[in-house]
Amino acid sequence: MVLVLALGDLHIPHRALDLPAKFKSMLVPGKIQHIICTGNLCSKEVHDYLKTVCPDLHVTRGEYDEEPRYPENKTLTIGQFKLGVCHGHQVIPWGDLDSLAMLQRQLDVDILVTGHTHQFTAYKHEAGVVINPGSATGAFSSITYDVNPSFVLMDIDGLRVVVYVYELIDGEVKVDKIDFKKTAA
Amino acid sequence: MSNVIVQNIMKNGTCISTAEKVDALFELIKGLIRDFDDLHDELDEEDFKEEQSFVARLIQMMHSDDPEEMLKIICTVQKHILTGGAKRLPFTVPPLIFSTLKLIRRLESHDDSVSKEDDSAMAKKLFQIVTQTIDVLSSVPVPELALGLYLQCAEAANDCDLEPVAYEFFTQAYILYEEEITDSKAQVTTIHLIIGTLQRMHIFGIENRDALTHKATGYSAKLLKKPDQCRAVYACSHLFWLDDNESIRDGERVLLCLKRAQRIANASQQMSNATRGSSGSVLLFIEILNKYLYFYEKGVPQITADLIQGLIELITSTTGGENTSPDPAADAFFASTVRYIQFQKNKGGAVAEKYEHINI
Repeated sequence: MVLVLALGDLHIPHRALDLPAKFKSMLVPGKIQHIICTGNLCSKEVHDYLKTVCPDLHVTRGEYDEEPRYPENKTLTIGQFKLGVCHGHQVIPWGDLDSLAMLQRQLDVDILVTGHTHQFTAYKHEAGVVINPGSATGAFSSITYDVNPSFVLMDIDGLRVVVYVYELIDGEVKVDKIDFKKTAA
Repeated sequence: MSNVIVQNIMKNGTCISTAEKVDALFELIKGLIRDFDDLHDELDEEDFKEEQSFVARLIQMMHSDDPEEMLKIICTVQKHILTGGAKRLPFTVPPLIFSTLKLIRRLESHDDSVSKEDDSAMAKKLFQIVTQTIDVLSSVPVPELALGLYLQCAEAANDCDLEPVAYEFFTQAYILYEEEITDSKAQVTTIHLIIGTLQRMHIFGIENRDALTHKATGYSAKLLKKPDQCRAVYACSHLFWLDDNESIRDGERVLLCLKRAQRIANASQQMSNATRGSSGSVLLFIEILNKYLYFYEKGVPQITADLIQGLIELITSTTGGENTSPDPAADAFFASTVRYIQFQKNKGGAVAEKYEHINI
């Protein structure tokens, strides 16, 4: 069982103050093996904080990130799964699932994690899953009205991944999940 | 001293809810807001960033639920941060802009028909404030940040059905692009922000829309590197076919974009041949193929199975050719595209019918 935290679009300190306290108390160091961040942190403090939660941190560049070393996209293998990460402002139309599926084909990954819209989505199709963990701080978005803070935790176990989404709605953390099983290569 | 005050306020989590209190707080922390010759501390860059980050967060906490009071707060914040000087503006302007956009959205979501005129007047005033504030960023200068903020405002104006305001924001964004964004990497990012935002606009009449799309396609074709040109041009194809808007469905222009992208990909191949002796990767062609499939499925009449078949054959013959250098990434992409076509064929119904004429 490998736990992968996926989050992004925090926009600290332009549009948000901090992660919600209820989220921070869940992100205990040592419990998570990998962090995937879609981008738009936007400050070094956020990067440093995420590193304390888990040292294996992968970040892609959002349009407001100033760190020149964040790549436009990234692929990594965790267990049996190939994951791809990209902020998503590069994929037009923004949030369009078919265009995101094209990026998924291009990166040749089972799981594609993107952000930018601040809207949680998990889209299952024949070739894999496209996940958007939303905005971890509920930051303002011109694309999505009424953003609730959200993040995703993936539990990778063999050929199966369970995707848990945590959303802060009216002060309470709600959890939902979807299952995905890949056929052996 | 000011740092301690700021940290205390944030720990308590309370909002600073009147313009008067905002004024008082800014007075208290004036050392953070602008330079004072005699009290000027030499902060190193990291400390300065941290300090301004605090100020940015404080600005976010200056909030009232009452729109009239919030407008006063916004004006007060603007008054203070504009004295901050070039180093501080990139930190303090964005949070003010987003606070303002949040208020605009609140006004726009008001269903109350009684206050509609007042709301509209206030919204227009708020748009003037954001324009003035972003304009000041030119003194720093931070053109990429300013351009991004103009585009955010354009979306807000779009949501408020204010076509001239939205057009003006785009104009300012385009001027910045043409005059200030010179770094080729920055141009690529920025052009995608422009295309992505424009793609979402529903407010523009035909003439305004044409003017803006024409410019966007032009910028795309003039990016420095051919692969970047190709990608930006095919991204522009989405400007001419909107799912959620029947009046913006111009298959002819979609096809023109994709063909233009293909010509650029060709040119890129030829350059590769000429300079490196090998015909480079077919990657761009595979990307364009995927875009053809996208529009084919949308039912764009000008995107035909024949066109798609032709491109598939071009890709397979080029890949097999003796002059082509192997590219595992392109091969993997083509393989997953072929798998996708096969999935669609196996779906049955209308989708499978469409894919009947495409052979892989």
